Amino acid sequence: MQQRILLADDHPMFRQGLKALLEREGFQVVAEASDGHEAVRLARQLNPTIAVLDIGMPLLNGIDAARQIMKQNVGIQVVLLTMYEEEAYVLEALRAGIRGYVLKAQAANDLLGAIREIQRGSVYLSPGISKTVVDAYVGKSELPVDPLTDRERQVLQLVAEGKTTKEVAEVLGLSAKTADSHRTRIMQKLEIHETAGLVRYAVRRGFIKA
Amino acid sequence: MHVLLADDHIIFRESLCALLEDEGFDVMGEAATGPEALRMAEAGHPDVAILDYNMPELDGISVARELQKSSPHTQTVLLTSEEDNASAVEALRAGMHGYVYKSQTAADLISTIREVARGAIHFNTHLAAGALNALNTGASSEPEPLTERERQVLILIAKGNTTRNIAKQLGLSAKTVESHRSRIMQKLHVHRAAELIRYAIRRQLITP
Repeated sequence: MQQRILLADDHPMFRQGLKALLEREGFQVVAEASDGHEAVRLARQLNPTIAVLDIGMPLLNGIDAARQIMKQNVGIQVVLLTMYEEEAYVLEALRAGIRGYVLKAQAANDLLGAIREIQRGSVYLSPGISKTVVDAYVGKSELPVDPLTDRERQVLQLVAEGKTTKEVAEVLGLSAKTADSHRTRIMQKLEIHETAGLVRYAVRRGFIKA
Repeated sequence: MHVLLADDHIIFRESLCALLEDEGFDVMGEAATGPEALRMAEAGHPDVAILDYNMPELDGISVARELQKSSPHTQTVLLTSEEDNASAVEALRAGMHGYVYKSQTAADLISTIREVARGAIHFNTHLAAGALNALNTGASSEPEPLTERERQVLILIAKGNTTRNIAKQLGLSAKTVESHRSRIMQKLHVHRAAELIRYAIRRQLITP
């Protein structure tokens, strides 16, 4: 059966080139997205079997997009393709149940290897990702519980990107009142009382680039 | 047409290579560092060298500057992400004829390469007027630097202080703090408060 791939990355020329590369390898690229929300929407509409997602995307980052996609597209395989090699991102990805994590510093072969491995049921991490990350995951004692819900994380990313409550509501399809109460709840949970603090938290957690 | 590709993200380079080959270009070399790009270009004299700005050891603009002398018929195109803030004026002064953001499309890159090979200069449109004007007048088209006072205010804003707090800490009126804040946002071309904080983190004025 031919694999149907969804590609999401906020650099169009990279995405287009990657599409050319994957098609040469016999994959069919059925969808391209430039932000996480578009990726979730297209996954719902077009039913890909594999999603290759960049982490650093506007509106909704790749890890949170992956969470939604895995809930709505049962059985889909997800690979993150990113320049972020820091432990925090890798652990976040593993925590979300993502089994492929590939660094952009590596060659295309690495991505192809990841796609093969996760289809076999394995976890694939690029060379260059430290062993201590894997040990931390396996040990599980290092992984702190995420204080925020999925929805709260989505709201936080948008707030940190500078969106007003009205804009947040629009992007997420909520009422302004609901968006506002999410924002309040986030500030309460994190014990952060102003936007600047929220932005800094979002950068630390990797929801947005600085 | 023979082109050289230089970028330190291998998969990015391979992707561009696939794109260019599909369009009929002959990719005569792929480099992962500035010095490697220089060596390959000086040996192979490509028609166009596509150079990532942010490369280890030597950045794309420095490579271009060298190539003006060692491979004068090679036209150079700079590839950069917005976050890197590569100077358009510096690129022009280094003899580069193309400037493309990674957030643009493959078609944009390809048309820039073709035009540059024909001898034209193609800088991303929203830079073009400013950069060329700056060269013309000799003025800097770079964003106006912040004054020391503005820097102080920015850091306090980024740390989450209220206007009143900042005024108190710096011994200013609230009104003065507000006008510093507007001026800062103007200078940095920033429209949302959240972007100020990201700027401060990026410039390492505060830790996140």
